[in-house]
Amino acid sequence: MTRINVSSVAADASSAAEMPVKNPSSIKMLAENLSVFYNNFRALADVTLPAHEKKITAIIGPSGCGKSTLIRAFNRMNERVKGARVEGRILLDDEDIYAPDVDPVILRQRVGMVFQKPNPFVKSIYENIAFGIRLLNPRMPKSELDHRVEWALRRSALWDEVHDKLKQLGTELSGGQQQRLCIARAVAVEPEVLLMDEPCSALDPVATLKIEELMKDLSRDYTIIIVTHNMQQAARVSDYTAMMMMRPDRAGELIEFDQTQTIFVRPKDPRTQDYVSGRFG
Amino acid sequence: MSTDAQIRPGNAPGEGDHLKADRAIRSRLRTAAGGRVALFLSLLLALLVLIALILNVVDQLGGYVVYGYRIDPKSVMPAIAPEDMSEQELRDMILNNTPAYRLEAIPDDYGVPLAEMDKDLLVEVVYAEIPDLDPLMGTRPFTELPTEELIAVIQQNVTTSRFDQLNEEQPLAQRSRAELLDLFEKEVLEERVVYSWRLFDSLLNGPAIIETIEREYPGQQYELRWWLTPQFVTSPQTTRAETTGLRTAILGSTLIVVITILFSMPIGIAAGVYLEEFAAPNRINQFLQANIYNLSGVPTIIYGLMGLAIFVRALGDLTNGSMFGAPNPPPNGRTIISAGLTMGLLVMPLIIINTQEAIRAVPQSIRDGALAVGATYWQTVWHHVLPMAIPGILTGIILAISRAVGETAPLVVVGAAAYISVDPSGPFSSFTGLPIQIWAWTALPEQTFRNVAAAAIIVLLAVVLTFNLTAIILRNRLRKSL
Repeated sequence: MTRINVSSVAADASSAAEMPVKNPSSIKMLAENLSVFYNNFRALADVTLPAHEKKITAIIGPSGCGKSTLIRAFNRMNERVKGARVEGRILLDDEDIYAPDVDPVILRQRVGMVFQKPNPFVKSIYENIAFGIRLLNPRMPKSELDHRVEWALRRSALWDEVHDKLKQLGTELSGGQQQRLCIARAVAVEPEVLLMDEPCSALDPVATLKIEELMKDLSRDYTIIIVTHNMQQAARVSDYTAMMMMRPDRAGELIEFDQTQTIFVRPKDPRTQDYVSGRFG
Repeated sequence: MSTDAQIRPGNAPGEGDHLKADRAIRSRLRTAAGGRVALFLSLLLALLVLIALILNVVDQLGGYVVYGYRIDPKSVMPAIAPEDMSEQELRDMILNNTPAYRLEAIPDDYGVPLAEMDKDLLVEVVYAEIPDLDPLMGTRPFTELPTEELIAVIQQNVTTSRFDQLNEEQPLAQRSRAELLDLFEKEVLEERVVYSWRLFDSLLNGPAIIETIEREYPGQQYELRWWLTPQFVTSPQTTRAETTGLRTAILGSTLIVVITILFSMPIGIAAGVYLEEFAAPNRINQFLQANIYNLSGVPTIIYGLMGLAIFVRALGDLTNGSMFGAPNPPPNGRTIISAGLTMGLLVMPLIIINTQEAIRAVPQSIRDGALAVGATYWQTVWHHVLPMAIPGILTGIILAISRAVGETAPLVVVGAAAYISVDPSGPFSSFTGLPIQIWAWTALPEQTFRNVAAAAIIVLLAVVLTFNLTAIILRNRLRKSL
C-alpha cells in the first residue's frame, strides 16, 4: 500500500488547482488528478477534490458535467459500467482506493451511497436494514440485530414513523420515507463516508427539508459528499462546495472549490458567479 | 392563439378556423379509421379460425349412437331352473315353446287350463312338455339379474387380468347397480357402436335421427352418448373405443413432465442467471447466447432424433434401468426417462431465455443498492435479483411445462408405445402420452376412435390451458406482492 503524506498532497493539490484547503489534516477523502474514461470517452478530466472529515461537501454544476461520474468514483460504483477506467487516484484516509489490492466490496462498506431515486429492496423495512448488517456479521444474534436496526432507523429519523410496521415492504413507504430508509440502510453498516447522488431530486419540498435536516445531523458523525442540482440546497446544507463545468471536449472539470459561503458570495471564477446567481445552467 | 396561427403551414385555414378539419387532417383521420378496421378484422379472422377448430372437435364429443352387442346376452346368462321362475315366466315359456296341438291338449291332460295352474303344476308341465329344455333356460333379461349374480357373470366372462384391473379401479362390490349394468354391457356383451351421429346434428335434429334409427335399425338400442366422461378420463387404455380410457396416457404425460422439469429447471435457471449476470460480454458468450436463441427454434423432431441417438441408443443401459437393477427392464431405452430427458433438452432454451428476461427486468437500482452497502455481486444476485425475478422465471417454467405436455414429434421418435394398458410404474417403464394417444387414435379407421380422440383433445387442451392460466395467475399474484 502506498502511503503518502496527506498534508503535503493536500498542499500540492491546492497549489496545483489554486484552491484553498483550510485544514489539511482533516481531509477524509481526496480525489487527486482524477480522470474517468468510458472506453475512449473522457468523462472527467484531472479533478482534484478534497472531502473534509465530518463536513458536507456539495458538488454543483450543469447537467452532463460529470458530477455523478465523480461521486460514483468515490466508492468505485462506476466500475459497474462496462469499459469504465480511472486515471489518477482517490485517497481514503491515506490509502489509494484504486490500488490493486483494495477490494471494492470492503471499500463500499466504508463509503456508503444513497442514490437519486429511492431504491429500497423489495423486502420488509426490517430486512432492508438488516441485510447490510448481516453481511458484516452473518451470525449476529437476533436481539443485537434488532437493536442495530432500531439504531439505524432512529439515526435516520424514521423510527417513529415505522417502528410499528417493520414487517411491511420498504417499497410501500412514501418517497421521502423510502429515501430515509435508504439512508438508514447505508448508515446501518457504519460507514465513514456517505455519498449522496442528488438524494432529493425525486422528492417534494417537505420530504426534501427532512432529508436536509437529517444530512446536517449526520454530518456530526460522517463525512458527506452530495451531488445536487439545487443551488439553494447546496447553500443550505454544505460546508464546502465544488463547482464543475463541461469542457469543450465534453469532459467534466472542476473549476472552483471553496467554502460554501465563499462560492455563493464571492466566487473567483466568473462562470461560477453566473451559475450560482442563476444566469445560466 | 395568434402565434399558433402564425406558425401554421401555408395551407392552414385563416384566423378563427383552427379547430375545423381541413383536407389534410380528414385524410389522416380516414387512414386511422381504416387501419383500425383492418386490425379488428384480422383479430376477428383469427378468432373465427380458432372457434371453427374447437367446434370441429366438440362436434365429435357426443351424439346419437346405435349400438348392439357382439355377444348374445342369452349365451352368457346363467341358467335358471324352472323352479326359480315366476308363474308368468313359466307360462310364457310353455306358450312359446310348445306346439299348438299340445297347447290345446294341456287343459284336458292336466285337468286345469294353463291360466289357472299353480306353480308346482306349471313346473311339472315345463319338464314334461318341453323336451329340449337346456338352451331355453336363462332367457330372463340381464337387467333383472340380482347384483351378486351380475358380478359373478362379469367375472366368468372377462379375462382374469381385466377383472383384476376393473377391481383395482373400484371394487365391483362397491359399484352401483347402474355402473355394473354399464360394465356388463361394455365388457361382457362387448357393446359395439353400429352407427353414430355428430353432436350438433344430434342436438338440432334429434327427432329426425330417432326416426331414421327406428326405420333403418329396427330393434337396435340407441342413446345420446357423451364420449368425454369422468370414467373415460380415469380408466386405463383398452383396445376398444367403447371401453378405453386416458389414465395410462395421463400418467405417462405426468411422469414425463416431472422428469422434464427436474432435469431442465435447475440447469436452465442456473445457465440463465450465469449468462445474464456473470458472463463477460466476450465473443464466446455472445456465440453461446446466439445459439440458445437458435436452439429454441430448432424443429422438435430434431430433438427427438437426438434423444433417440443419445438416450435410447447410446445410454440405453442407463435409461432402461438395467444398470440400476430394475426388474424386467425393457429391451431398449424407450422409456419415460428417455422421453423426459429429451423433452428437457427441448424446453431448456425456453427456460434459459425466460430466466434471462426475468432477470433483465429487475431494475439496476436494486443491484446498486445492494452493492453500495458492501454486498458481493453473488450476494446481490442471490438475495435481491433472483427473488425479484422469480415470478418471471416461474412463468417461463409453466409455459415450458405446457409446451412439454403438448409436444408429440419427439415422443414419437423416442419411441412412445401407442398401446399400453398397464400404468407406468416409474421412470424406467415404457410409456405413452396424451398427444401420442390422440395421434394413434385418429389414425384408426373406426369413427368411434375419432370420438374418443376428440375427447382426449379436449382433455389435453384443458391441461395446457390450466397450466397457462396458472402461469398468468401466479405471475400477477407474485408481481403484486413485490
